[in-house]
Amino acid sequence: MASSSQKQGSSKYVTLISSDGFEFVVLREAACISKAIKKMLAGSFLESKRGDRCHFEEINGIVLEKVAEYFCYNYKNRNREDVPDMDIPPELCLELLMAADYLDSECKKKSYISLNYC
Amino acid sequence: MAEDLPLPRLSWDPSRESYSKNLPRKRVRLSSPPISSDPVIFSSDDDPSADNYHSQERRKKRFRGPWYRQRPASDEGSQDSHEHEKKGKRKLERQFDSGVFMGSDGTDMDEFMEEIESGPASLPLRQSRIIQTEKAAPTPEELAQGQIQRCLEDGNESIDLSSRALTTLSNATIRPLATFTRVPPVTEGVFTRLEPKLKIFLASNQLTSLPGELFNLDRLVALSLRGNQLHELPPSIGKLSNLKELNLSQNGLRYLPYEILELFSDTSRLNSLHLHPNLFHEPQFPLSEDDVKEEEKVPYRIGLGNRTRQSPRRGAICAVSPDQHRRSWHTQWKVTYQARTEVRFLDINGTLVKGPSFPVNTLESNSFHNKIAVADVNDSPEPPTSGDSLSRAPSLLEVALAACAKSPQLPFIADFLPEHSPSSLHELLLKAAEKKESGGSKCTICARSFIIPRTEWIEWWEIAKVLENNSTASAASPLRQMENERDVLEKMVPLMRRGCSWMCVPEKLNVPEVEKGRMAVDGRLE
Repeated sequence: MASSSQKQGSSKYVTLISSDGFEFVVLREAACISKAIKKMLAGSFLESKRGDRCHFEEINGIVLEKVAEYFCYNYKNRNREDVPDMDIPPELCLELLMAADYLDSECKKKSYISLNYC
Repeated sequence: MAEDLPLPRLSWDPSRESYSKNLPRKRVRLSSPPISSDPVIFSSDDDPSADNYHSQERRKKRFRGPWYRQRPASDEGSQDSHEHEKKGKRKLERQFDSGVFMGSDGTDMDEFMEEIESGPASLPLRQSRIIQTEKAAPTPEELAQGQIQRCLEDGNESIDLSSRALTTLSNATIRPLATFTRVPPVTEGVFTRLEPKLKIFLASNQLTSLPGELFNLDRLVALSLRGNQLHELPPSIGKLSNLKELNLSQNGLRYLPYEILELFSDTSRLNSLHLHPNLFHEPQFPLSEDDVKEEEKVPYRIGLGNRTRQSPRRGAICAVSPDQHRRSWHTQWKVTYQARTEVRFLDINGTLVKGPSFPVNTLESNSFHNKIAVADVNDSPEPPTSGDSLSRAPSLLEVALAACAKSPQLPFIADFLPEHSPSSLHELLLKAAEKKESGGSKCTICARSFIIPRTEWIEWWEIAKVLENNSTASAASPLRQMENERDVLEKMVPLMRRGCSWMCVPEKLNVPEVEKGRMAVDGRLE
């Protein structure tokens, strides 16, 4: 999985790696919903030099799988009028909440204008 | 004196006739402890009324007997109680011997009483009253619970909880009312509806929020919240489709939920509505150059009142509400869209990104700063970002928060957050808990339920009652200018609309040219 994503090149897909070593290959466009990932890939982070791989030391595989699923869900429904609900198992909700906060956090620390250049 | 004592006891000692006559009390037995044993019919039973055992009434009476007799004894001297205890025991033994279950083997009469006292909610009327007075200091809410319980048992449809110094009202207090059933008349051959017409009076308390269960009582006919400290009304108020009277006056309300318009739909029954006084946001109409030029002379000739009268007329230009065609209003009410503020766009955690700031609901800001500028008629809301990232899909934060809200452990979930987690998460979870308590909210554009609003704006709607002679109640005569001004202001009810995504914004209003022309003619005529 990891090797295939590296072959696919740097443009279209990105690889998200969890703290316990699981890798998820997601559309770059879908993953860039998260301001944190967007910054990781675009800016001064080490991640962008290593072939579009994002390491998340704080997110484990099970949660990151849900996050990746959300990226796809969000991407698929981006132009739809009636968006279906996404199922989240109750045992994951709190960890996912923290992951969501983390993935959104980069933008919060900067001002909102940071969106324009990142 | 010694002879006097038995007399009250006699009056309490329930003869069989008094039981069977006391129908209402017998009917409402929803809360009594379940009967664990089967009906008893024994040939060896020497009770004179044994042949009545097959009837349901007799069985109930048998079960109640022991502790009903005990009750006057506890009021009187200890000697009396001993006598009663003995009597009770004898009875128990006899029935146990005959194979009838009346409590566990070791059941003592004292234990039995303790057991009853531990659960006041499951007690019939008289007993619960005694326990209430025995308690040291019951909270206002506990008293309210008792009152609700009493109303349930008596079949009393108007629940008067006004002036009880209530500060909070929980869902658990209101929930029993959902099972309210009317006491049917005993006359033979008469059939009535058992659905109650509940009236709840919560006036003159210190409530700051309302429980969501209150709005699940679809049999609610009258609701008075007069004189409380409510700053916001939950959107679920729109669910009260049978409501006839609603009193919201003397609260700190700045706006009403948009969903309240449901109460004016053609299927609703709302008849009387009291909204004022409150701290409602008032629309501030800009005085454009055209107005000053064209209408300068006319208004000032008539006086002060006219300056405000021109305002709603200006607003009326945009009376072409986007969803007017799909709503039909009740004939009793005149409901028209007047104006709205600019749209506030909020970030995924609820912070303002773009848009006007509304005066906040604090005590300091109560000082008459409640005017908000209305948006231009041609205003089309522009989200702060470009088209790519715009989507109706909820944010991951919202999705996760909704999942948290579904869990029954929501109030305690915040305790599981690690120590270093940001305080914003705690706030979000608190907000989610509050929202769940008050019944949740739905997007006013796409009807999706949400926890954190992404857009919000206030719309002013004219809500007025249509009188029989075809005039609206608050339409004042043009001669009384001072009243006119107040009436015009009070007719404009601010309704808060919230959307679940940045695409959930009001549609741009297309004002037809004909309409514009007509308004211009109207203006000249005046």
